[in-house]
Amino acid sequence: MIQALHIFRKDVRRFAYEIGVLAVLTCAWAWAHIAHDVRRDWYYNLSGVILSLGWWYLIVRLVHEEPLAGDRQFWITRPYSRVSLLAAKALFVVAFINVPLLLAGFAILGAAGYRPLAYLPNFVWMQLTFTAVALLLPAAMASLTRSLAQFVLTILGLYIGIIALALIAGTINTGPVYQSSGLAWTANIFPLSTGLASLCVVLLQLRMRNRHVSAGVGIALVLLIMFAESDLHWRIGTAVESRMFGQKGAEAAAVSLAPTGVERDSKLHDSTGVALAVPLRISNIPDALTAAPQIVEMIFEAPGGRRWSSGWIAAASSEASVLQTDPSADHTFTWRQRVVIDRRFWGSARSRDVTIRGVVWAMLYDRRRIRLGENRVTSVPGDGKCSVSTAGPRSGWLVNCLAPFHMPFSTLEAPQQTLRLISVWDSPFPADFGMSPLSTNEAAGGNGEIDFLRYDPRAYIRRSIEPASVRLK
Amino acid sequence: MTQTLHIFRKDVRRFRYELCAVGALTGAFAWSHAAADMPGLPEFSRAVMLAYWTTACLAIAWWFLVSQLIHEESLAGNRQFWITRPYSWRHLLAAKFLFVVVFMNLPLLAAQIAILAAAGYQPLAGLPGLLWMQLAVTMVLIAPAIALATVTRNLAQFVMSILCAVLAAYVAAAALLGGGSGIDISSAAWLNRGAAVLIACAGAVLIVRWQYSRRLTDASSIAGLCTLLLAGAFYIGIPMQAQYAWRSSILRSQETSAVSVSMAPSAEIDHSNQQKPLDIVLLLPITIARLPGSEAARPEIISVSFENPAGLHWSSGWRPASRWYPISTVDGPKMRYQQILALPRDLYRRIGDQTVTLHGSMYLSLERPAVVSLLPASATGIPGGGFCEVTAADNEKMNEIFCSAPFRRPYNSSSGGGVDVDRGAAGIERHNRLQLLSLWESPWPDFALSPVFTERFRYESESGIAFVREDPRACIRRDFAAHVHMPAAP
Repeated sequence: MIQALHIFRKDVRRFAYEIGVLAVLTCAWAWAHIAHDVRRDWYYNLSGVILSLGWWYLIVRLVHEEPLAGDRQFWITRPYSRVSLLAAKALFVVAFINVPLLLAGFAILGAAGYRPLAYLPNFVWMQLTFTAVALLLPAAMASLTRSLAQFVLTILGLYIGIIALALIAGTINTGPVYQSSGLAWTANIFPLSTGLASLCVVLLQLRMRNRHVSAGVGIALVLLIMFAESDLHWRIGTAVESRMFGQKGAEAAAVSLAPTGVERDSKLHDSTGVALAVPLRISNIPDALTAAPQIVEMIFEAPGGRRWSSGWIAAASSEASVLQTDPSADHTFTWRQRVVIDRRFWGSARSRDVTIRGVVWAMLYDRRRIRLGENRVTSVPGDGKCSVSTAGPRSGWLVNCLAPFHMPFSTLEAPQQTLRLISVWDSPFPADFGMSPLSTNEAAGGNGEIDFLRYDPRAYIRRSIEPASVRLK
Repeated sequence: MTQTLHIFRKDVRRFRYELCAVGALTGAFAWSHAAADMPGLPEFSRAVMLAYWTTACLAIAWWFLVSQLIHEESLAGNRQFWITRPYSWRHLLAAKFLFVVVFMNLPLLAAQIAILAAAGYQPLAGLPGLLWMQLAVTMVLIAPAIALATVTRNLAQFVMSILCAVLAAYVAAAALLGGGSGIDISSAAWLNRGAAVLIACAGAVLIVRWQYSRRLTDASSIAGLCTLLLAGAFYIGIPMQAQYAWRSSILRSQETSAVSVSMAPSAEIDHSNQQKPLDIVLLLPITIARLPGSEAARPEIISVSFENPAGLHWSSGWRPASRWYPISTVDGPKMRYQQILALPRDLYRRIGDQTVTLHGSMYLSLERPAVVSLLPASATGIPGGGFCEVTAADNEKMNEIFCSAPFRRPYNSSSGGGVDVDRGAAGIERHNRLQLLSLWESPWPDFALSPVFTERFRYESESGIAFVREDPRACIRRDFAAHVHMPAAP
């Protein structure tokens, strides 16, 4: 402990200027979030980017002070304990990055009229995810490099690799598709896993100081995560949501193929396969609830015994949102699921009868409606606040919302001059990923009524699609 | 020359990995922009975001490469190896410049040509624009980085200096601009920016020259700080009045002497706008008369002062002239608009329901706006090159506008045009149309790495849409005075 404190003090002296600059940057960042007049301005975004870059710089310099890569480390000739070294570095990061960020978060939330101490668990979660994603990665990269120049080059190389992967995978030009955002929170699993892989790399380097082995393990872990990530996060998400929300009152709900028939998706074609719009219907939705399909697996069986499975895909449509915004009188919800099938299978199945079966995972929501009034602040669920104003006599509404730790609303609709802000919170995590505890949204448009629609999860269902035979046109 | 090439070759060998990374990033930059600059993509599609990120990464990679390149034969400090060798500083400097031109400017030029061609423009026709952009990139991004690298010893110092500079700029901008929008979008902004870039570039050249010839790091650092302050002062610190005085001296025209500005003798309280608790928002009816034939006026900035019979005096200071769109309602040789003015409520209580003497000054632009109607489901050419395409968005009630133009932003802002007016037998005067307002005043292309600028916008399909290109011919100042009756305080 004494040695750890000794190294810590040495680092504080060594990086006194850097610490000072970053402290001022943290204050500037907090100020940009607090000052109402400049919110949404470029200061707001710029300060976050600069602060993050500054932290990366400090972490890299800190790790390189006692380098782990190479064969010329001075510190291994001294009576340094690896545990003390790690503890000193961790203490430094906590003292000069995490604690200032936490204090800035308290100030931001306090200035917005909230009691920061009431949100301590949310703060702790936010710090944890932020450290895992934004601080451990540069620490791992720094432990594998000898100098700042090597670090920068490695980061640039990584970015080029990501672009190359995107190019190979052809995932850049996706057209406008309404996709379920129900399991969006599971996307956090990948960065958190990357944080875990980064921690492994740091510990391995500290233990072995063999960067080939450490980098190899790190790359293997990231590849494993990416490979498993294809639908692992969805499997985890559906398991968690099933356990959290159960099927209370939704036992009778069923999913079937709607009678309108399967057609080519005329709105959006796909260069990799044949895009179909498969009409699916959830029926027997309990009273006053709305449905939101999340995950779909579809299996097509052609007469010759050929079979094609979509695997787990997100509920999506190129025509309309897959979130049912209003409960329907007939207790059903129909959407045209977009499925891109293999060209070879399409060749053998087109103009013939095929059997379609599959599985749908869907959330059933209880909808609350809060009418927002003009020229006043209205409280909305999730401790949020929304204010409505007009930008001018000939302009529509301007709605500003804020909420602690989650986005106040995720999407909006503007049917017939009205404005509907749609807020869906089904994440089991106490906070979204980010640096600021206060999330803000704004919406403009409409000149009629403004409704804030909050969807609270009531039941999570997994239903097989009743098998049906259809002719593919 | 031989020594220059020798150093150049040595640097190429030394930085081969870095050059590969920068080359790959330049390729990715061209590819991502070619993929993103097409209609039909959402505003925050993956392709568009990747184009933003790749541009930022390319700039960072250049700065990194420049710092490594200059630090290879370090100029700051007292442990330079190269001054003990028969190196001529001129050859050393020439080698570094050659490296920058070959591995930054030329690949960027090739990428820009590819982006222009992919977007359907003729690259050779845009060669002057491309050369301007190269010059701008060199002046704004590369020259300051070279100067900074010459006064720092290593990458850590280089990064730290950037952090300090950004912090200082951030604090200065926040303090000076306060609650403003943060980005100066006024017509005269290009003058400030051009002057600031020129000053920064001149300072950078001076520092590089000093450092290579004399290695006076302290003096160069002080010169750098002074340059930063001066450039910053020009960029954000020039008072609005001075900016427009400068602009009017550039946009001078002989045929404007008859133009006059006047105000009607009664003001109104703005009941439609949201009144603030501490202010009263007034609408001042302003008339700009005797405009030259077929020209429109665009009020730029205005200063208004009141004096009541009891001697109470209040001045608004110079502020942007705010008005509702359409910008110019040409009514023969006249243009009328209502200037919005917020007065402190305490002050207004003392002048409300009284006749006060008003003195005002205004800078206004005279222009011949070119208006192009954009039709749904078609692509229309816009003045000065480029096109706008209107397509039905996935939601049937919305249309999506995609505009593209080489070297300049296709439009600067969008605005609703108001409500239609029924003129009886004369028909319906259409105002319910979205206007895309485009101002191309600066003589040089807009600053960016990509030569193709795109904008995306969604609007309700019921309203028409017009593209308005404003082309200011003259900028003039007019003073006016009136006795105005103030309405009673609400």
